[in-house]
Amino acid sequence: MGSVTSGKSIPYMLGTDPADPRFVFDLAASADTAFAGYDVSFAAGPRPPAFLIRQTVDSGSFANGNTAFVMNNGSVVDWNTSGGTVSSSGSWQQSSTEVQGWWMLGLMCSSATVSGTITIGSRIQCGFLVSTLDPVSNLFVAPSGDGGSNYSQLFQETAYVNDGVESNSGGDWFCAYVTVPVYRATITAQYEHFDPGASALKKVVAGSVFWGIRLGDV
Amino acid sequence: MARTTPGKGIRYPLLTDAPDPNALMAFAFDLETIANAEDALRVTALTQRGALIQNSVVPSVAKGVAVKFTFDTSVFDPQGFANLGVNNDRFTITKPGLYLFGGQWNPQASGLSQYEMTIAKNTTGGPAVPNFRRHKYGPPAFGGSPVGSCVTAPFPMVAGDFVTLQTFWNGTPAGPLTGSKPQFWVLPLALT
Repeated sequence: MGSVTSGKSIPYMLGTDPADPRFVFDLAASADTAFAGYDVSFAAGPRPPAFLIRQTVDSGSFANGNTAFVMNNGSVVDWNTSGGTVSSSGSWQQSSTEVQGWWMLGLMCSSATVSGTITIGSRIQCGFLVSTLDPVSNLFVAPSGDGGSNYSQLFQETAYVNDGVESNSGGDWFCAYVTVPVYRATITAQYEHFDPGASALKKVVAGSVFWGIRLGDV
Repeated sequence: MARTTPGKGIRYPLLTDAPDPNALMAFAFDLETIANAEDALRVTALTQRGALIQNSVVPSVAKGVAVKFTFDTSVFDPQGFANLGVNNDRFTITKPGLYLFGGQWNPQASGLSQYEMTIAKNTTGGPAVPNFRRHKYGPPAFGGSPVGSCVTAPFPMVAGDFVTLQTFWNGTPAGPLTGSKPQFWVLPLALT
């Protein structure tokens, strides 16, 4: 007879039970199994949802003041345990069954000059276009655009300068990171260059990566 | 007569044994010993997953070529990502997953026109697309010496994959450059 505790199912004897000579063994075996389970979980390490998308071909060229959606011209999903999906245009769509969560996003972007001559020191920048819903109303809360009096969709516009000296591509490599709370979100990494004094055309180079990892619930 | 569980070796009595308080005491102490070991494992799993290695010697870095750093000191490495006695230039992965790698070295010179920090996967030579991630710096914003440089990069890895830390610089100095002592770290983000 005997019984087990309601939480961890640890066996114990009742005062009305006949003495079971193996009772202490049952208790020891229960502890043995529980400890072995902890071993497995600790050895397994972390498994937070994550994704990593890598651009596989160079983008088309774009002129001063234009925005390029990174991963838009051919990409491969190197990692996706996010539960979400990656569109053919390189956007990541959060799982619709995921509760609102904190995500850390990163973009490592390689860009190069296609034609023309860049102005050394002119600006290039990258950012994350985040479309997310309010978890209570299920309404889209941010109007489009990245300026004006509204909350912006565009997070972490990280600016660098054109040097055109990167050792592999003769362009530039730079990185941006942001942490945002999102719900049913669609997120796209983007790149812009601003070289008002020149007619240089630029491209995003294969090998650039857009990635994210879930940090926890909001 | 001492009996033990087959897995963890927990000592226990049978109730048909002659009453022996020491047997129950041994049972309790075994549980505590194992629980303490599990606590230590949990701390390792949650807080000591990554590794940091450094070089106690300032490197000499030639101009205009990809230079790979070496390391001689393991600051912490509970998972055994580095084995500096065998390879002093890398982290080698044993569990497949998504990993975040970072490295830092601050060159010490004026007149730099560019400098780069690169994490390269499965190569000890100058990397090629798509096996590297990089942060490229232009001329130092403040023009001074030394200048800060680091890179943080994610890579999907399988068992046996390795990464190295490299740098590259150009500018008016003839070189080679010295600078800070380099350091290199790894953090598993998500294991399969």
